[in-house]
Amino acid sequence: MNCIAANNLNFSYPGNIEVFRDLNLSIGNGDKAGITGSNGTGKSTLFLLLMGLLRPESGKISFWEKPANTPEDFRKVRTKTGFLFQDPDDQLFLPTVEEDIAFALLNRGLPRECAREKVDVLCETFRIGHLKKRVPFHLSWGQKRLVCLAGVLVTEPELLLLDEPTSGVDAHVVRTMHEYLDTFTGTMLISSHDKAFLDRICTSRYLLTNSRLEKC
Amino acid sequence: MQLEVFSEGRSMVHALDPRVKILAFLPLIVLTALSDDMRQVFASLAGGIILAGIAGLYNRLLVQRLAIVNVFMIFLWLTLPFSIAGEPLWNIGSLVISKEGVSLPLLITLKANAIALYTISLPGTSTIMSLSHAMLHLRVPGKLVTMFYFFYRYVGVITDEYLKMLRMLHARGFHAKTSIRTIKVYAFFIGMLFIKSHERSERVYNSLLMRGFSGKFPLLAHFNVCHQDLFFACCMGCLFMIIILL
Repeated sequence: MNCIAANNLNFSYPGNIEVFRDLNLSIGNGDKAGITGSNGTGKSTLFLLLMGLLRPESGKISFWEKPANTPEDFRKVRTKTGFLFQDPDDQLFLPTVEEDIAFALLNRGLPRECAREKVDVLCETFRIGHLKKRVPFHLSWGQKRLVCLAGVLVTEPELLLLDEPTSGVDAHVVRTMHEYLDTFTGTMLISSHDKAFLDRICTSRYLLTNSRLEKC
Repeated sequence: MQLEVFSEGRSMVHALDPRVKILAFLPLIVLTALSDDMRQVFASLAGGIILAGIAGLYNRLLVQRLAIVNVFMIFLWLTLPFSIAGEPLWNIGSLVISKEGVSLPLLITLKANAIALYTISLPGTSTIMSLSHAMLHLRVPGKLVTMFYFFYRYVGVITDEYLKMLRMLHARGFHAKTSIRTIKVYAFFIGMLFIKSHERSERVYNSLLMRGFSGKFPLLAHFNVCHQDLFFACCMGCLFMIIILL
């Protein structure tokens, strides 16, 4: 079964800046796919389109064999998906690290104590327990990255979209990410320029070039 | 963030339930703002000074904040004493300073400082997030609270972008002069600031949607009114009554 399928996707930014022309993509359930491509080819845009945060001009997107057409369809998909944004400052919103990590859980109506337990477990896994009471905006880039990833993974998503997870982080943070992602059993789509990271994590690779996606 | 600089601390005031702080703060500032009795305003200012002391806020930052408030008072002191007719107090050449002209700016200055001290000591010692949460508990409409929190968050975004761009300008050798070029650079600067802030805010909103945001901000930390809160509420009630009875 396909987890993600995009057919004949077309998208341009205002000013006729074409990003995708008849783009096709299919990612099987449980696959770990990596997407590479030069800067500005639309890797982040593809993720935004898949999550319904941008609307394609034409084309069809489906998840787990169910078409996603309406905002409500995409909202349902988003509840099963974790999306790590390229810039952690776009993602961190709440006044403390633990509140930020727990945000998605509480939005889903999980009781506070249960949410706190899950946050504690994840903080231990990512070795960021000492940061729980800190203000997220004051952390280092690598720490922010880990907090964002924890905030995404805390809901145990079935599908994970990671946009440049290793950009600007040191080897220690990459190793911590790698350790966790290795144990992740869901479907994963990673956009990155870090070929070594993709080689270690991904089972398939795609190259985004000339508005199209090609399997490597 | 700039709006939360007083929120980190270990004083008794910092530990209070934000709901109690809001409930104590609102009547006090309304009373201070509406009062035109010098004794009441003095008592209110004294309350503000004591509260800032308990909160351990006597530092350079507090002085800076109060200095900003008092800069506006300078304009009142420069104009009102000479423009309000009344019992003459001093004569400076042909200018007459009246007693009423002095007491009015004095009253306004005291009120402004008292309100500033209450604002910094009470809501200022809580995080914006906990204040937002407290407002929801106090039955303030959810949309209003969401707007309040977003305003705070995006003021932070715009400030960050502003500082980043300013550093970039200086790093590239820009120095402001009285010239058309400087005006042009500033015009681009402001335009870019709004565009970048707008784009950033869209990204922030998208990330919120991805985490199931539906207009509410549930929190892990929950409020519990304890003896300390009740004691503080009683003290504030007494202060309120004292000011009224004066």
